Amino acid sequence: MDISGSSSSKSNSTGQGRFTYVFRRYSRPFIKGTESVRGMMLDVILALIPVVAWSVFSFGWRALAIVAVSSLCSVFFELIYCRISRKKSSVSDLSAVVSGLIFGLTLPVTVPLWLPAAGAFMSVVVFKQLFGGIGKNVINPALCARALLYPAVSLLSVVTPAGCRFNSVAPVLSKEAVASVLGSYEPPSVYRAVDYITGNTEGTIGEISVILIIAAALFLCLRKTVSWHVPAACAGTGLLLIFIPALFGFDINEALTAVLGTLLFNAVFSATDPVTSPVIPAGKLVYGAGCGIIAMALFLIFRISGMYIAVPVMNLLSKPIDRFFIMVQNKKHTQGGLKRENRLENREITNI
Amino acid sequence: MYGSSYFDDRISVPESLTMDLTKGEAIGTVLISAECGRAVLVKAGDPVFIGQKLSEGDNEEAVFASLSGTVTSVTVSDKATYIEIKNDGVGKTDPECAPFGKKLKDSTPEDIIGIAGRAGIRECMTGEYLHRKLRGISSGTDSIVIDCIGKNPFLPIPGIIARERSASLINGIKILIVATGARKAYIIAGDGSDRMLDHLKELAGRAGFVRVLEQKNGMTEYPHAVTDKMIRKLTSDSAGRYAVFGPEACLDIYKAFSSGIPCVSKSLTVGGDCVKRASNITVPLGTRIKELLKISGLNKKPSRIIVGDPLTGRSMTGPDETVTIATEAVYILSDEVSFASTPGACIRCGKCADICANGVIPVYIVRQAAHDRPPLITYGAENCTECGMCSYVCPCGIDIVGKIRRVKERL
Ligand code: SF4
Ligand code: SF4
Repeated sequence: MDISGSSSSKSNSTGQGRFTYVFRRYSRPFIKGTESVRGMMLDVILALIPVVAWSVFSFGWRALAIVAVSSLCSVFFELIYCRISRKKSSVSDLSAVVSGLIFGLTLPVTVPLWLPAAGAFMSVVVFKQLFGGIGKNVINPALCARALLYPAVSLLSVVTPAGCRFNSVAPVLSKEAVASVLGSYEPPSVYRAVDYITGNTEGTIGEISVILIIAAALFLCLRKTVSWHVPAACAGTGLLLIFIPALFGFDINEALTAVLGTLLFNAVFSATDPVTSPVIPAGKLVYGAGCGIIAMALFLIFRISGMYIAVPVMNLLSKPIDRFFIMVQNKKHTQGGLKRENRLENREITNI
Repeated sequence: MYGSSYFDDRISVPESLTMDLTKGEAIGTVLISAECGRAVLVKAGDPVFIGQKLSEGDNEEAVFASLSGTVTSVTVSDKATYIEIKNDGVGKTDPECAPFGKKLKDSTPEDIIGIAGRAGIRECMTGEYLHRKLRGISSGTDSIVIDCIGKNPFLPIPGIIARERSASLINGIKILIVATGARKAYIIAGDGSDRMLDHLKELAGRAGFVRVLEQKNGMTEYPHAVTDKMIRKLTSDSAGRYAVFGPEACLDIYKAFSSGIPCVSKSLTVGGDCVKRASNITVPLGTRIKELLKISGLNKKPSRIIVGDPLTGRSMTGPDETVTIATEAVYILSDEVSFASTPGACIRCGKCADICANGVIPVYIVRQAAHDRPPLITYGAENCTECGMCSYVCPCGIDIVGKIRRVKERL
């Protein structure tokens, strides 16, 4: 290895060619694991692919058009925003694709196609980038947009049963078109358990197949992309609140049809958004349970799909929840003194 | 599994001691620095031999030739005096180096402390001089503990010594037993399920007072360290008052006792994803690190050259940096695996808090570091050992350790 002229750089001639190395002070650690935001988002996209496929199978090609418009517009708005505000483009971390996919999958198949585009604009530009970009937003962008567009979605579309396929990709479906497709389809009078599990009920395009959503949740938990706390707590409380009335002989079919899919989908994909959920495991459980309770309360009182409101509300509480549990933990350590002692013991001793 | 890439499979950790370069012509020159102002006993052109004293003074002030050859230059700067020696490839030892006159059973602790001092032996992990350490602990110690686990999976030498240099290790332990007045010794090693520790166990059994204790996953887990709790658990609380030594010091004291050669070489790991032949090698002290790079060969453009391991080491400071007793490893990393701090925001994934073994909650400290005042809640920052795992796992590439350090300064 020879030292080249400059004192701060050195050339190295070994077997295959020369390498230059500039001496600089780097901070520890020097090695980086393989985790990346892009990798995590890629996992979510992978988990969503079967859900999208099922939506196309159950609702026809229009479902794909909705999801495509929503995710492509998200990417497009992100690009434009970064260009205009001269920020480094954050498209490559794939978070825009994910929020677009999630937003699209929470829509019924009969919405006009400008709606996913509007939702993409609201979620990416208003609720994400204007807050400072990924990591700075306080509320989950996709669900916040969905909550604000809730009235528009209810006015402009009808929820249709799975199996009733819309293949038209016209920007706006006319009432007659919807009626004619619906007319040619005979939904079963009552859904059986197997219908709920496979996703043969009615609802928005992504929120019907229980089994695919659970599979996605398992995949994401195994990949450690999301921790099990939030989905388990959220789905657990929600399901409890759905099934408790059944013990008293109430008919829960309506609740199952209206809530089951959206509860699970959002418990797995929206409530787990790391940016807007707590970090401390105990906090995650409380937060998840909170989402489930609020969603069910909204359904029972107002008959609306409560997750779109429950998650943003709990998002606002996630930092206070964390802080509460950190304070509780700190107290325990200083009062009991037990755990703290353990920690000190665990520290490296070099010598006596 | 021991010996393969167990921490991060992009970087393999060499599994055995492969080369001894203290003899032969592999190393061209060494650069030895003597304390500033100390009289130097050689001048340019003088022939020197391995172990020959190069500067005035006893014990820690003395420096020794680590190669046999010719002194090519003696340079005095305001920091130190640098003596450069050109290798003649003969590897002749200084005739003044001779085995210690007495048998071990007739030696006193003072004798051993004297040998350690004259040989300039230091503990690799802490840099502490062995003779000082021995002086500090020589009364009332029940046992000595040899830490063959080391600091982390990127530093395999202590484990390799237990596996491959068992005889010298046990001999060194016998000497330290005399020096400390202890009655028993424990060697804490990684788990020996691969039978690699069998030889050591056999020798320990023959010696009688030495026991080999196996720590499950001792070599592969990180952060790991021999802790008080671990010692008490492994010895079932029979260690009593103990002192911990590194295995390198055992080998060095054995060498000094049996041949009179002072501490002039160092075994270290050369690894990283840029290195063609990752290896554990023994080199003379004062070898320039760039010579090690030449020997190992590079296959990619290096982006970080690290003295020490990739988690807790430091970046190489300049082209003339040499191997010292504290150089445990040299890792050369390419851009692909290097940590590059990015200005991006934390996505609060919580991975940093999950991985921390000391209960720190780095995710909130990252937010805190931006403020200029002492934090109200510390989130455990005071317990941070700067092991580096949080930065390692952070998907956003946030320099968490740097930020924690900043917060700690304000505590
Ligand atoms: S690992 Fe990095 S991104 Fe994740 S919470 Fe910690 S600091 Fe934030
Ligand atoms: S560097 Fe500190 S905070 Fe980070 S993992 Fe290690 S001990 Fe925990």
